[in-house]
Amino acid sequence: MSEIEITAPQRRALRDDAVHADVVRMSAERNAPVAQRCRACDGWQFPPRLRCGACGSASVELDVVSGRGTVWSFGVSEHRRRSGERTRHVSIVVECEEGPRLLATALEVVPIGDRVQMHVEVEHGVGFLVAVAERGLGVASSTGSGS
Amino acid sequence: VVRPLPDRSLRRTAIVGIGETGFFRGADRPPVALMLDAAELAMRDAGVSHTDIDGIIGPPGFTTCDELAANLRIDDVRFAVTVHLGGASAVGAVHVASMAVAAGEADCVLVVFGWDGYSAYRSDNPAGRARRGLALTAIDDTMRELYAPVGAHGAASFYAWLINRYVHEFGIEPEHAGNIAVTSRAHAHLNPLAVMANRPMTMDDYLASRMVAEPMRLLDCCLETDAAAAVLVTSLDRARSMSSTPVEILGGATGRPSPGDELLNRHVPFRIGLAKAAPRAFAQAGLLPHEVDFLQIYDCFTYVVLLQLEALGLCGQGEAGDFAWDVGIGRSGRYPLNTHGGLLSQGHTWALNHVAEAVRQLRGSAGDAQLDRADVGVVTGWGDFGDGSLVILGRAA
Repeated sequence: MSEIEITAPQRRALRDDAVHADVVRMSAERNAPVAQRCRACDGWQFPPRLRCGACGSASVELDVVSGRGTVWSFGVSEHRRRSGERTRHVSIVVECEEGPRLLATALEVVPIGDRVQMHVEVEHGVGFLVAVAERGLGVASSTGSGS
Repeated sequence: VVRPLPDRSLRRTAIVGIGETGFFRGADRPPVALMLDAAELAMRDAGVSHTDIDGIIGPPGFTTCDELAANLRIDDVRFAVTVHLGGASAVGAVHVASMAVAAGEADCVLVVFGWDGYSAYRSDNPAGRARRGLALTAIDDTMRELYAPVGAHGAASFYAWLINRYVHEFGIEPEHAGNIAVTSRAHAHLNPLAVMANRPMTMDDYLASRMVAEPMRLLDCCLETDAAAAVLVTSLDRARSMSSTPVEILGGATGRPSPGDELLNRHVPFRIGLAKAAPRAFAQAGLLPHEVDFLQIYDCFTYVVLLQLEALGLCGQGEAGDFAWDVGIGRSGRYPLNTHGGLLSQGHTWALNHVAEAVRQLRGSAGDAQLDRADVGVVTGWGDFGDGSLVILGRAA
């Protein structure tokens, strides 16, 4: 186990040419995670595209999801900066109750299969998703731990 | 199992020349200069001149067909394309070159790939960062805007999401991945070109290496090098009249996961591009996967090799770790793997170095690394978010 403390990644403002700007701006405005919904087949997808991957319809729009979901996978990345400083970040792949899998940061590794709740933290006008284990919120896990 | 006959209505094709530069950690020249060197080495190996070449496939970035042709004095480029499969592009390009020659669209195609895989990530190297880099695509938007904000900067970080799920579902142990790393390092000792030729590694070394992106340690990750490699593809008939020993391209294919523009929302998470491409290539070759003598597998990360062994059809899903232990992937095993050291221990030219090593093995010119049995080999590519490519190469009958 690494001795490096887990921290949140540095949060940056959007680039002017960001393709997915609408997603993170809407997250910030609605204070909720955002995915894309198809009006034709009612399916969800992520990341947003010009067409629905299930039915091919162009009638797709961004919409908020509940933020509740299950850990599908996770990542623990360690970086060395030029200054010599070492950082450790945790990312969680959350399979939302609505279906799509979104990415969030976390301050602990949450095992695959555990339930989490995502919330939004706003900086630079961008909505950053943060996942917290339901047990951390005082809710018992219904699926047990995975790995 | 149905074994379709290969389509022989098209021309049979062969690799007639290979060229590799050294592998540098800080080259003093830009990628295109290295590519020109590699191209000239391949031409010399084949015994052809610039007037013999009428097709060019270069990498997706860094240079253009026009720049390569102008410097190599190739007057009439009948065929030129760019293959966009990320790291799988080079092996995919060999397949595309073969298609062009088979169809009569070109007679001799130069496939050349090179890059500043070391210098691009550092500021303290002699040449500095090359002004031109990889061509930007939609996946760059995904990486920059969706993956980087959660701290995933680079391939190890975002592949880790797929690999952690793989480890969870199938009970993969670190030693399964370590077997790939340790075996590749042992093979590098027989290759004077390998960056890690004189750097022994044990399983204990592997397990003690620092974590980069759990479960991937430093020694699960490939080397970063500045380098270039090239191969020449022509018809088998023409190849037989040349000075070098031809190696036949028996089959090839490319494939992509679905969807291929991101990693996490796939219908079948581990159905990578190679799983779609491999059956097509083996059918074209009239061979079954277990009939190959050796494996040159794209090894940007050890765990990615395990996924590809499964995608090739050599074993079932989740079985590659045990499979590699059981059958043996060392020189004396049933399926010798990356006999040159691979991206993990030789260096990184997008697996065109794997193609070059396969050619050496099939020519019988691999020196200390030469295998006793080397009649048919497979080379794979892996790129972007799981794109795949492969060619099946054989000793020309």
